[in-house]
Amino acid sequence: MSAALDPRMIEQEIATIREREATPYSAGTKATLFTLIIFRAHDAVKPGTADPVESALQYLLGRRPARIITIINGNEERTEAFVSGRCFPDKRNRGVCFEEVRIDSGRDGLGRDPGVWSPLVLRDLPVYAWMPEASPGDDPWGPTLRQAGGIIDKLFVDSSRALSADEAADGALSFLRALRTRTAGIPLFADFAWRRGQVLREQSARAFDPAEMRQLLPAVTKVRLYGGSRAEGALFFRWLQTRLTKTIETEHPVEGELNEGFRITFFLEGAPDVDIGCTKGGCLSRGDEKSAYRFPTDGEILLSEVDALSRDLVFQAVLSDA
Amino acid sequence: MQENPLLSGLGLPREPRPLTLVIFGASGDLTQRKLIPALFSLFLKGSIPGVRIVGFARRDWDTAAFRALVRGWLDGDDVPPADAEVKDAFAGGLGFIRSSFESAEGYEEIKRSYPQPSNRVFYLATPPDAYQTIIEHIWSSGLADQSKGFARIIVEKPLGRDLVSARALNDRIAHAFPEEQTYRIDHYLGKETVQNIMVMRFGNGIFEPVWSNRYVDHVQITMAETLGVGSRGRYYESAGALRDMMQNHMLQLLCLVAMEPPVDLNPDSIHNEKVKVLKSLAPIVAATVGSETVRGQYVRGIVDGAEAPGYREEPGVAPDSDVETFAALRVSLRSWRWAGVPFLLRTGKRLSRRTTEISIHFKRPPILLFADAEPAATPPNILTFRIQPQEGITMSFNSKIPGPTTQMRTVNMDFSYGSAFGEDLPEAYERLLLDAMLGDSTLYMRKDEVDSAWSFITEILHGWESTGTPRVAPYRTGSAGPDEASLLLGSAERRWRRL
Repeated sequence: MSAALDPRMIEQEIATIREREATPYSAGTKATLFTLIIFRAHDAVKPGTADPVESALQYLLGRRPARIITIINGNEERTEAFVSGRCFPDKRNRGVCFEEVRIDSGRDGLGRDPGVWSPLVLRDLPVYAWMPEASPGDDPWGPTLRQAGGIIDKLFVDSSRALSADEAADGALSFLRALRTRTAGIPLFADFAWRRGQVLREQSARAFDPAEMRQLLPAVTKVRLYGGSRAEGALFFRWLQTRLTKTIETEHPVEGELNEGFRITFFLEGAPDVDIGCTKGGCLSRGDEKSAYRFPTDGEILLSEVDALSRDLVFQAVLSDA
Repeated sequence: MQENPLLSGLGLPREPRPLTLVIFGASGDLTQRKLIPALFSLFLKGSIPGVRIVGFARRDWDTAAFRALVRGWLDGDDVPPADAEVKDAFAGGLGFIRSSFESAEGYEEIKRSYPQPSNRVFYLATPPDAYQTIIEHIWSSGLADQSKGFARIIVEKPLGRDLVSARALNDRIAHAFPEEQTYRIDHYLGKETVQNIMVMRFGNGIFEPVWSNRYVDHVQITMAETLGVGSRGRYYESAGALRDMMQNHMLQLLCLVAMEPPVDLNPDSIHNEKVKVLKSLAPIVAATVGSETVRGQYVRGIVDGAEAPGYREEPGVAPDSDVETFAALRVSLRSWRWAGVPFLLRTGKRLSRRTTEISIHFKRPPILLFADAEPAATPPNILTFRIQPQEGITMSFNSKIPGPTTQMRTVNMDFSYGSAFGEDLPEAYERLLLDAMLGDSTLYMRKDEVDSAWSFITEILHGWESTGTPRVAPYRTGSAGPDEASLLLGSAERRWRRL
């Protein structure tokens, strides 16, 4: 439903939708836990393709009641706001709801101004911002985020989706570092690619955990990765070098989706190579020892990010070393 | 290289080392209703990839029959939903040993048929009278040997029926298993809302400053059931409410409310603080049982919309039984924090409502500014932890009624798990089983906790026995318990919370 940009009118619309949900046939709706602001480009979703942001939100719906404010950098004349809501009933027939406000920012630029949307964030509850299409190029949201430092608690990006085909792997690190500098006023920062790459770090750490393997770590001279995006590869290599406090030769000859599987080969000086592999069915390392591994979806990553209001010190160290 | 630098800061999910979990009493009700659903839920989450589950029971089954039986259980309502192939995979991985608990051959069979993984966890889901036999066979067969991997034991309540028998049981267990490999389960400690008591107290800054005799008038802990003893009449005749609920669940809840902040979250740090609480309980002895305790027994009445028999009419119960189905205590703690604050504990069967809760009743303001000096018009603030059902926390406070006067009324500030998070709360056994497999005993009871709790309870039992007071007061099924319970309140301004 279209609404004026007046926050009071938008709140009124939201209240009406909530009341509608609390019918005699349901046990009402759950208390909203946070606000998520999604900054998007108007052409982010290509016709005929699935929207990964919508898929992630679908996962969240039913698990965490939230207010979702989507701000689209549109090209219409004037900025407009639309209010809607959707609920997913839990076992006790209580609605786990999204209160949704979509602001189509027009050429007047109003929608990008925090003055328009900041009165809509829920006070005293965490405020997250997600820039699914953030990239190293022109950043239409730069001024917005600079002004929004005091409003937003945590910013999410996905560096895997940030690099174009001709950009070098190191571009992911410089992109993240530059973005972090530009948004220094936002206390917390997260990257979906870093979270996806947890499997690479976990499997490496496990492979070198037995004492006899641990002593081989200083002998690692080169690492080769098959699978994963360029950004995931670059973050993994940087993490490894940070943890081992030395420079290692790295190769990433084949890229792909991490959840399709991957293989890491550690080349060691004076010792046989160490191979780690994961497929959809599980991970194999050190002989035939197989362990289950569930690759998280973007929805699961989003859920874990909105549940955590703490700093990932390892990620921070990787970025500051970049 | 001493530490693994790659592990640092990764926050890996908790996953036990490969182990064999042997469930004694695999054909029983506990295995079907609690253990298998909890293990299946862990299986679904990928939390126990290296765990081999083996049932041990005297029933005339083989492995295939046990798998088929469990596969059927997995279609039950209380089991997490999953595809049929996933259920097949779980059931297909189970092992089974048919043996009586007394036969040494069964224990040899564990070693012979399931040599790997050599880490072993033994769950005694059996009647307590089988504990001694099982523990001795585990010991004599070498299955408790810690040299080829760890061997742990999980035991269910009742852990004895008084101080002497509890100590004897603990000694028997200690003969075979070191304390750090012994897990005494109290499933209440696995409940999310119980774990939230510590988070609420020590994860927030606003509660600890008022958490003392300076601001708290009294504390109530209630565990009320609508059910009767049902088919447990024979067991209940030798137990009663004091042994069945007070000695374990209720004293554990009291510990969590009254304990000092632990120095860290290591199991021993938490156990140490809980033991201090138990040791600070002022004993209730023969001279004081009449004034500090109340006991009752339900008689026929209506509950949950239907007429229900009295306790003495239940199967397995003596027609002249004097066993208490309701017990209430006024407990004092000899500590600087709680001196002078009564802890009022009550538990009973066949009461009007099923509820478990802890309520902290704060003192009224020192000057009743808005109530025309009428205390009743200024109800005290109450902070209530609802353990079950409708898990959550409620804070009641007074607010002005809109209008030209300063009249006020009590309003509630309410947090419900069911009103915030979308997921169902995990079952207590799921967390507890995983913790035992991981070697984390935080949510289990240490030997000296059990010992201290029994020491306190046994004095009351002796007092009841030697003096015959208080009388076992009859109460109507579907009521709030015997009227005598109000005598424990000690002040006309205090009320038991309405059930």
